[in-house]
Amino acid sequence: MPLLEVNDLTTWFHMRDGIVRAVDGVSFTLDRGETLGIVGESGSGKSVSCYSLLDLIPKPPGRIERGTAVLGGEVDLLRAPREVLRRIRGKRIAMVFQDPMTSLNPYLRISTQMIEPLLIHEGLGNREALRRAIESLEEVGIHDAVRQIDLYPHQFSGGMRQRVMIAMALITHPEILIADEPTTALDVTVQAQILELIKARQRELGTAVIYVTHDLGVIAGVCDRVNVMYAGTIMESGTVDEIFYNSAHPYTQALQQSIPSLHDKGKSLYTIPGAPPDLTEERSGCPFAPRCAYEEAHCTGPNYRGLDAFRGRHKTACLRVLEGELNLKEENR
Amino acid sequence: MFRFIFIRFLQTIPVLFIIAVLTFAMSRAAPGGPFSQERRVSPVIIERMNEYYGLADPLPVQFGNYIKNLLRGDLGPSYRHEGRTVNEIVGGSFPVSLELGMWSLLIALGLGIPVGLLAAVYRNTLLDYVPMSGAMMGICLPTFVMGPLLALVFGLWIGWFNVSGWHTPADRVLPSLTLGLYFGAYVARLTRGGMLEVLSQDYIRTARAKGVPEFMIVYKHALKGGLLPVVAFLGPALAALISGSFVVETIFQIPGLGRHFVNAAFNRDYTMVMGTVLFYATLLIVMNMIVDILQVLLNPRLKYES
Repeated sequence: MPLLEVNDLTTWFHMRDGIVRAVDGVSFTLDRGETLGIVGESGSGKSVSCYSLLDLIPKPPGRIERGTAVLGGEVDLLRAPREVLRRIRGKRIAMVFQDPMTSLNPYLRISTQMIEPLLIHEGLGNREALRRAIESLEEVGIHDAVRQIDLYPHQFSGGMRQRVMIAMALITHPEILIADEPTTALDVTVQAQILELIKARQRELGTAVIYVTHDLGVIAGVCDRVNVMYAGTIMESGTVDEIFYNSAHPYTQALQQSIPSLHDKGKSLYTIPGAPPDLTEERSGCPFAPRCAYEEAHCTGPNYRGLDAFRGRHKTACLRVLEGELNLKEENR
Repeated sequence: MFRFIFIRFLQTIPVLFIIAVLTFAMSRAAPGGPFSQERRVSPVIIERMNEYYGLADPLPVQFGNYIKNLLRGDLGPSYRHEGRTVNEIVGGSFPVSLELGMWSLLIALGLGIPVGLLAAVYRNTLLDYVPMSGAMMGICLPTFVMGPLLALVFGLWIGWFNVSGWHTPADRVLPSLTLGLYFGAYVARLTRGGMLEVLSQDYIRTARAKGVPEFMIVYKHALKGGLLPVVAFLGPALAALISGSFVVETIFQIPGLGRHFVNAAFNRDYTMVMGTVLFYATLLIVMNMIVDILQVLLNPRLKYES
C-alpha cells in the first residue's frame, strides 16, 4: 500500500475573470521512503497540487473541487476535519518552501520557530524541545548551534536559513517531506549542499520526499520517480531513467531540449514555441497540442484519455504514443 | 539604547530652537497685540503696558530675554490671564488633558486593535465589512459632530451623563468616547491593514504548514509585525491626544490645555502661544522617540539609528 495515494485531485481558483483550473485531475502515488519529483513550468500546477494536500491554498478564491488524497490508507487529506489535518501538518507531512529569506518569521528567534512543531505535536517541554532543536540544527550542519539558535533569521545567510527550514521540517521525523523549489532561491554553490543534505537526512529518517521544481537537473540528481506536469495535469510519469532516456511524451522531450547546457555554444537556445495555455479556458483533449510538433487532429478529439499506462508503471498522456502511432525514440534518431 | 536616547535628546535642542524662532516670528507678524481690544484704550496706557512687559524692546532683544527665561524653565507671564504665569496655566490644565487623553487612548486601543484583528482574520465576511464600515464612519464623522451627538443621546435623552463639565468621574465618559472612538477608528483600520499585510506573508504559510493553530498564528506569528503601523501612528496621535483637543474641550467645557492653545493664538497672548507650542513640540518629540524605541523592540531587523 502506498504511503500517499492521490486520485483525481482538482483545485480551481474562482477569480473575478473566470475559473483558473490550476490543478485538473492529478493522480499519483508515493511510497514510503521514496523520492518523487514533480517538474513543470511556472503555473503548471505543481506547487498548487502540493499545497492542496495540506490545505495551504488561499480559500477563497481557491477550492478543491474533487479528488482524494489518502495518507497511510487511513485518512483522506482533502476531506479530513481541519483539526485532524492540522495535526498531520508539521507532524506526518512537513514542508520546505522556496524562499528561505521570506519563509522564516523575521520577528521571532530561530529557537522559537524551531521548537514550535515539538511543542504543538509532541507536547514536549521548552527545555527538551530546545535540546532537540539544537541537535537537529547540528544535524543539518550548523556549527555552534547552541549560540546560533538564539539569533533572528536576518542574521543568517540564505543557505543557512534553508538549512534551518529543513531542520525545522524534519524535527518531528515526518513520513513525508514536501520540498517546494528548495534550491531555486539559493546560490548554485549552495544548491548541491542543500540537496545532499535532504538526501542524507532522508536516508537516516526514511522520509519520503516530494520535490517540486522546474529544474530538471535537481530531478535527475535526486529523484526515484518523476511526474511531468503541464497546464494542471500530469503529462508523463515514470522513473528518472524512463523520463530522461525513454521519454514517452513530446512535452517531456521539449523540456529536455530546452536545457541550455545541451546546446552548442553560439547556437541559439531551443525554446518550445508558443506560450502555456490560458487556464481559464475550458479545453478538451491534450493541453500541449497547440505547441506540439507531433500534434494531429485526434489529439484534441474525444478519444483523448489523459494519463494512462504506457509500459508498466511508466505512464504518458500522449494519445499518439499510447496508440503506438508515435515512437519518440525513432523520431529523434 | 542609552546612547540612542542621548543622541536623540541632543537632536531635539536645535529642533525646539527653530520651532521657537518660527513661532515667535509668526506670532509677532500677526497684526494686533495682547492689549488691543475692541474698547478703545488710551495710547498712553498701551505704551505703559508694553513697556512693563518688555514689549517695547527691539524684537531680537525680546526673543533673547524669552530664551534666557526659558532656559531657567520660566515660560513667562501670561499677557491675558492677569497675575498668572504660563507655567501655572499649563501646569494646571495639562493634567486634565492628560487624563482625558489617557482614557481616550485606552478606548482607541481597546476597541481599535481587537476590531482590526477580527476584520483581518475574517476578511471579506460580515465580521470585516460591518466593523470596518463603522470605522470609516468614525473617521469621517468629525469630533464636533460626534461630541454633540453623544451629549444629545446619552446626556439629554437617556440622561446617563452630564452634557458637559469635568467634575464627577462620569463626566469623563462622553468626552473620552468622542476622542477615543475617533482615534479608535484609525487604529482599527491600521490594525486591519497591517495584519492583512503580515497574514499574506510566506512565513505565515510556513507556520500553517507546521500545524500551528490558527489562534497562535495570529497571536504569535502575525501580531508583532501587524501592529507596527499602529505603533508608528501612535506617536503623533498620543501627543495630540494628551495635549488636549480644542474641539472636545470646548464642547464639553473641560478646563484642559487644548483650549488655551487656540485661545492664546486668538488673543495674541505671545508667551502663552510660545509656551503651548513648545510644550506640544516637546511632547511630540518625546512620543516619537518612545515610538522609535518600541519599534526596535518589536522588529528585530531594526537597529537604533540616530
